[in-house]
Formats: sequence, structure tokens, C-alpha cells
Amino acid sequence: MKRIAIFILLAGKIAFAQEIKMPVDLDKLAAKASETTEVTLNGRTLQLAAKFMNDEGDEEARNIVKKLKGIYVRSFEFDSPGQYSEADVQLLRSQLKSPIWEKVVNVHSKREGENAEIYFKTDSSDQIAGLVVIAADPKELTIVHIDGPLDPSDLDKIGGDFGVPRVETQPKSKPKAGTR
Amino acid sequence: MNDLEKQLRSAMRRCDPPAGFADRVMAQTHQEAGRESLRKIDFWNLGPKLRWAAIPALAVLLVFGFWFRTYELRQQEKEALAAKQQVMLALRITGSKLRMAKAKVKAVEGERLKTENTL
Amino acid sequence: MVFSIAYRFLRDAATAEELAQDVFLKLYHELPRLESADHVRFWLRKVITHRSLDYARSAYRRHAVALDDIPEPAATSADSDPLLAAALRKMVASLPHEARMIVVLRYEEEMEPREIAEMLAIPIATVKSRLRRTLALLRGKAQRLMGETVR
Repeated sequence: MKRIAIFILLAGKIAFAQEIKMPVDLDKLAAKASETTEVTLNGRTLQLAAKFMNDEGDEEARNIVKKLKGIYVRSFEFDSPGQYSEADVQLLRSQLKSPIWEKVVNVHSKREGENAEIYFKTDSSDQIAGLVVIAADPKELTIVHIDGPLDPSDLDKIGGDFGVPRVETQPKSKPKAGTR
Repeated sequence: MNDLEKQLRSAMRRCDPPAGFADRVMAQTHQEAGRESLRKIDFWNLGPKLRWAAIPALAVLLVFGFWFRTYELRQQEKEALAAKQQVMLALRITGSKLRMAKAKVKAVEGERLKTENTL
Repeated sequence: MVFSIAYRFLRDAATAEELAQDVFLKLYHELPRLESADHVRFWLRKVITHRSLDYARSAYRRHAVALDDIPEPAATSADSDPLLAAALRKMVASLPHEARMIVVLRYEEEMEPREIAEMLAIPIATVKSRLRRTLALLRGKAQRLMGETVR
């Protein structure tokens, strides 16, 4: 029985290792940041929250949330530029190099120093199964990971369609918006 | 009472059992009750003294079960409302970043079109 | 109360739940012999106290889990000083069984030394002297750990 329990624990850890993990170093940025927002919501908590999203205007969010397996947000605001480095997000980017992830937006603005990267995870039927947003400017770094199925209308509701309406339904063939 | 005793009281204060504990106790008790012969636990077969003694004890158990279930539900509701706030915050942050990315893409596209038209 | 005594004493939620469930099951059988709500409370405290002590004393358990392997339960906002509270819980966990149970009953259950003596079937003088010695020991350890802030 103990062996089975250990096996299940190990299997769980191995399975988790294949998911996106927020780099530990990222949390060290909290010490330098003037403002930090950290949200970690697993599937169970999201289901629980969805049950209580009954207020007026909650319906759209509830329909999105009840399908999700996790929402993870790390957002750091700094008093002065240069408090974080590229290396701080590199570990996360390296996890996104896996073939199941696709960078769909990559905007670098030299003038304002603002960067935005958006990645979609696709499942076997080419549906969006996850979203990662890395948004950075000289005094702010935000990383969002939404784990779970999303459809284009969900993205519209959350924030926008990136100027490439509807093509997100087939992420493999969509044109990439972006410039360097 | 000195500081250490205050700190000990705070550190050792009563903690709640895990979620579903009362349900599991009740389920186990029902299972146990099923295993025993009905005669053995038949209230009316208890002697008159035992019967009267059992009433307050049963009442305590019932009140405890009811109180604990209510408490658990209230805790769950609190947890859910806190989670809901976190969800809304996460969606707001995500939305603002998606809108920012969308605006950047549009600006880049606009500039590109302007350049093409000029050419 | 039942779960909490076992948990504060053993620092192992799964075992505490197991023992607490057993005690409630035993209560079910004992109900006809218990006369009042106070009697039920006394009985529950006594049984979980002795079950927890028996469990901790078993040689298998002593060797199976080293203290450092037991995770410190997450600090909650009710701790006035979460660091000190966590350190104190760890220090209490390292006390000998009887002294540890006396601390749990005194500070978690708010029981008087007389009641503790009755529960553990030991003289009241023993309870008082153990409490004094334990507090002195904890104070020394806490001062070394946290500086001079603990009186």
C-alpha cells in the first residue's frame, strides 16, 4: 500500500514536471519590487470559485474559469529601471520552447522599452490548451500562465484577439503577428 | 502571564480538522452501526438508566455534527469568495496585458501600412 | 478539540485524523455510559490524550519519522509572530512525550494543572514542576533563536 502511495506521489511529481513552472528565481524579484502581485489558483480552487461566481456580470468569467486547470500570475513593479534582467525570465522562456507551445505575439518597442510575448499551448486537436503572457517594460514585469482550454471568444472576453481574429482556433497555421 | 505563555497559547491554539472530517466520522459511524446487530444498539433495548444517559450524549453528538457541517460550509464559502477575488484580479491583469499587446501589434501594423503607402 | 489535541501533539494531520476518527467511533460505543455533555467532553479529551501518547510511545513510530521530516504546518494569520509560533511548535514537538502533552493540554486546551493531573493520572505537583521546567527550557531556546525579545 505504501509503495502504491509513493508511486502515485512520484508519478504526480513527474507529471507536474511536464507543466510550466514559475521559476523560483522569479520570486526573489519580489524582494526588489515596490509592488508584487502573486496569484496561484489550482483547478480545485478555480472550481470552488466558479461555484460562487453568481453575481451580475460574473457569468462570462465563470464560463471561462470553470474549464481551467490553473491560473498563475506574477507581477512586479519596480521603482527604477534595471531591477530585473532578461535572465530572470529566461528559465520560463526555455520551458516554452517545447513544440506544444507556440509564440503568437512578440512585440518589442525600442522607443518605450515595452515588450510583450504571448504563447499558446495547443492540444492534439489544435485547440488552445493554455496561454502564457510575458509583458515587460523597464519598471514592470508581468507573467501570466493560464492552464486549460480557452477558445477565441474567451480571449476576446479577457482582453482581445491580438488583431488576428478567429485564426487562434488553428494555432498551427495562424500567421504570427510580431516584430523585433 | 508572560510573553512566552502568550506566544505558546497563540502557537498551540486549536486547529480545525481537514475538510470533510465530520462527514468521514459520520460515514464510519454509520458503517459501524450497520455491522452491529440492531438489537445491540437498539435504544429501546437499553436499560432505563442507560437510556436516559444516552439522550444527552446522543444530543451532543448530533449538535456537534450539525455545528461542524455548518462551520465547514461557512469556511468553504469564505475560501471560495477569496478565490473569486483572486480570479477576478488575475483576469484583470491578463486582460490589461492582452490589450497592451494588441495595441502594440496594431501600432506596428499601422506603421507598416503607412510605409507601404508611402512607397 | 479531538483532532486538534492529536495534531498539536503528533504534528501529523493524517495520523491525527485517524486517531480522532477512532475516538469518535469509540464514543459511539460508549455513549450509553456517558451522562452529560461535560462528561462526553472529558471522555473525548482523555481518550484522545492517551491514544496520542500511546501512538507516540510505540517504538515503530519513534523510529519511522524523524522530527525534521515532519513539515511545519502553514502559518496562519492568527499567529502574532508566525516565525516564533512555528519555532515554538517545533520546540514543543521535540519535548519528551509527557511534557509535550502537558503543554498541549495547558496551552491548547487551556486546562488547569489540576485537570491535567487528573487526565494523565499523575500528581499535580509533577504537572506544575514539568510545566515550570518546560517553560524555562522553551524560553532559553526561544531567546537563543529569536534574540532577547521573549520574556
